[in-house]
Amino acid sequence: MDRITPVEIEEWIKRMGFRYFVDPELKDYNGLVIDIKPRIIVYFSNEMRYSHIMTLLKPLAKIDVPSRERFFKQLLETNAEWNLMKFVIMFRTIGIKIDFDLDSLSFDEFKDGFKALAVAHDEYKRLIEGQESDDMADAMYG
Amino acid sequence: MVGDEPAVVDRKVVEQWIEKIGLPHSTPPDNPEVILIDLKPKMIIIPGEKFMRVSLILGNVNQISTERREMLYQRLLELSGQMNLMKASLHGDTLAFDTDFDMACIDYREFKDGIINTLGGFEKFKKQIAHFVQDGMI
Repeated sequence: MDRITPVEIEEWIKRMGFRYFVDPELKDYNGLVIDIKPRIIVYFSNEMRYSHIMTLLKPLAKIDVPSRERFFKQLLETNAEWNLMKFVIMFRTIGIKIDFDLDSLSFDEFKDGFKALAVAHDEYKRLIEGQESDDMADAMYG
Repeated sequence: MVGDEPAVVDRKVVEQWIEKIGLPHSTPPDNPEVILIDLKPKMIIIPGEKFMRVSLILGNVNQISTERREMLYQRLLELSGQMNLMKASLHGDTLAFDTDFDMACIDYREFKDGIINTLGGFEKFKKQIAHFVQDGMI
């Protein structure tokens, strides 16, 4: 199986019906921004071995200082409960990220990753932020 | 069968893969479900029905002073962002770097790559959490 390229990933995003744009800040990562709520970015590792999809949930600066330890602890505990998905801090922002190995990635696996991110985002809203979820997963993926 | 083709993967197959890679391993008497990789730091392999997890144990969070925990947690979440297929997790009081494998499509090559990635990732990121070592971690 040949390694999937960024050009093929772009084709897959079009096939999924998403609108996207190129953010100059992600230029070094061959990154794209998927125009949905919450924003999902797609980018690549330096050696083009891995592709990443990541939601952008909350800027680090917006987390109350007194509650930071408890908040970060909760994210690490949730990481232990999740499979193939993780809370991360990237670009000074809290997000949920999935890594794909481009040597074995299929369109279906890539597409399922977006749905998994949407479900995880709803869970984050409910469990960690204690807010009503946006039901993004239901709205977007049924 | 040990090969590159996906097969019905059970604990025995995983043990054969570990032997093929050449890693020392054992079964903890108090937890026969898991496979312990006898390296430093220790790795625990937890085979499951849908997913298998490889956890590289970093240490007990209670050994870190309360004031420094926030900084450590933040650093681990930042490192998780830089890691490929691996993440920092907190299991009770135990901090670990975890890699998950989908049992439906795992094969020897993917497992071996995952183990190497876990060990390589630890080596790469060790320095960045090294200042916590003095508190007794790792």
